[in-house]
Amino acid sequence: MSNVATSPAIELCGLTRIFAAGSDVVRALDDVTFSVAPGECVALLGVNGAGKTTLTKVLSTLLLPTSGKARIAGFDVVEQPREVRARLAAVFGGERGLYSMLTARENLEYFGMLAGVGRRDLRLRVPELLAEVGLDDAADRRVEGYSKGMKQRLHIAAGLVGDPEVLLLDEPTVGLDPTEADRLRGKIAQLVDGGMTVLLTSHYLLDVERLAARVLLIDHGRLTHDMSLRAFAAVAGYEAAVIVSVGEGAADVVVRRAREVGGIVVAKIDGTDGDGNDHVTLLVERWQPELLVVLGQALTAVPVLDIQVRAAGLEEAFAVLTKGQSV
Amino acid sequence: MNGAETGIRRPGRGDRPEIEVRRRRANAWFAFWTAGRMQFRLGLRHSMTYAAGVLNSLMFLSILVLSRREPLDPGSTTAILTGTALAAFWASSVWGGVAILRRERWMGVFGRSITGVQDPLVLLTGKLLGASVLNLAVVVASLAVGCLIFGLRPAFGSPLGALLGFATVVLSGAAASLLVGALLVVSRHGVAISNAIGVPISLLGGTLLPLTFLPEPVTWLSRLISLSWLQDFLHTATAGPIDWTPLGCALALSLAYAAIGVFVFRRMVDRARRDATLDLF
Ligand SMILES: Nc1ncnc2c1ncn2[C@@H]1O[C@H](COP(=O)(O)OP(=O)(O)O)[C@@H](O)[C@H]1O
Ligand SMILES: [Mg+2]
Repeated sequence: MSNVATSPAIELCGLTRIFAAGSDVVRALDDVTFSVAPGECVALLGVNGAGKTTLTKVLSTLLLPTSGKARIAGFDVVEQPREVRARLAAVFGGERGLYSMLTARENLEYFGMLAGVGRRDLRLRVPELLAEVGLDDAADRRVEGYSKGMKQRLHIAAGLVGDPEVLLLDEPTVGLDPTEADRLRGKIAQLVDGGMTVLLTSHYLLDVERLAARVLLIDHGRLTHDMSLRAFAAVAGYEAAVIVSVGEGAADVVVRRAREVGGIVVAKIDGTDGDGNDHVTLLVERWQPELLVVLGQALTAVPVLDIQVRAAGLEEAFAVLTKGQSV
Repeated sequence: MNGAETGIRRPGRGDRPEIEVRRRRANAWFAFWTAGRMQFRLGLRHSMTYAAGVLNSLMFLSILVLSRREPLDPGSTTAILTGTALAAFWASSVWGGVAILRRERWMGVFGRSITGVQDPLVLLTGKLLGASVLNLAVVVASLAVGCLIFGLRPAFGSPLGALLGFATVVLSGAAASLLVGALLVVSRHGVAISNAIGVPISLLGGTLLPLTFLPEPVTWLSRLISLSWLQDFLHTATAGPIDWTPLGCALALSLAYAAIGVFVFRRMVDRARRDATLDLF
């Protein structure tokens, strides 16, 4: 169909989804408009409750939008769900969404059938996928005994079994140890290289940094930013991040004093951690060592435990864009 | 046939080659078969299958056999066995639909069924039939063991009639479980309702007590339950002369269950997608 070649892989137009829970009305998605070209890998970022999962659910035809339009490869998610389902896979991950009493192989065979893969293709595809995600040794064990990471890998395999044109990944690296997460990122990068369109939702900026060329920021259901990865990283033009650790409750003083120093912006205040310490992230427009001296003077008499300096990255950009809400 | 797979082109990126992907299509038979086999497998691994099937049938059988003083003739033996098989099967099957849907919801796999390429109703029907076949097999096997224990020798007047009867029992059990399952999963009060109607339905279906124990004014109600007709039919099929009317009534009722079940299920899925009533993931 010419439809497929010429349409964006993902296209949203004024997409709105409202949840009514009793008297509470939540606008989980509020007039969201963007489009993703075939073969693009786009990251969707937002704090908890921003509406990322809801967006993924609407695109995968699991939820109906309240208003607005969404299309996958030119097919409307409300009017043509069959066409959409034949082209898209969504991976939600987590502990659920798998038949725990079945083995990985049985799960994949079943999900492959759901995705419309024929019997003969499944016979080839399932062992191949199990090996690709590193589950071939555990393929005939019941999923109930799997670790979080293994379940996550099975989720990914289930998403890929139908060889989708568009892949939606909702926090794919959650619960994975760093090695596994890295391995998964490698796998996704490979898919993107192969021409698959990927919409990646993540808390982990490392995923974004490695995979996406473009970043969408969503806040309270509204699309607030749509920019290239480079623009996102350089969003505030800050060169360095200074993380000041202080004793419990001293964060306010640091914030007040830091504001008196020129060229510094308070990006993020992390609440008391397990050790009972507060961490304040300050962003520095132009880094020079003298600044530490100035800052040191400003912080006299404040119980500073530690100061770290590093190049500003996505984490800081995200903090600035979400106005200090913690990631 | 694994569905018509039309190769379509995925646009390549830059200088990368285009990659062939397949357009995926629904294939009702494959979906039905795979779902049925999957549920059968799951059932084999669930202890509930055996707890309900084995315990119920042996309990019903021993109550009926041990309460008799005089030795049983082959005719009454067969009547007792078919009655017991039906009662035990019905008990495990009717609630099977609720259990399957609830478990799928709870495990978070229900969402996959309704966002796949295959028709969710075909999948569910396959699962219900898969579960029904397994339930009946467990019941029949337990009763065979029961026969050995009690030294019973059944005789079938019309083996073909009995076979048809049991096939209808499986279909009817799947239809009833579709209806009950769809109705209860829709409702916010599903658990409360299933607890409330559990005993009345078992009474009316003749699975707790023989139907002759029911008071006159409610016997007509039991006629709304296909199992009561199937009891009648199997009785004539084993004792002869065979009467096809009850079989027809059972089939008609089962069709009605299935039709209402399909309607309710489709509405339930629509509502879930609109109102997010099922916490799908
Ligand atoms: N089924 C639901 N019923 C009511 N509110 C919901 C439902 N699902 C999500 N929400 C609300 O919608 C908002 C967005 O949620 P979600 O899309 O899960 O956010 P994210 O994935 O970005 O963390 C939240 O405020 C959440 O509480
Ligand atoms: Mg989420």
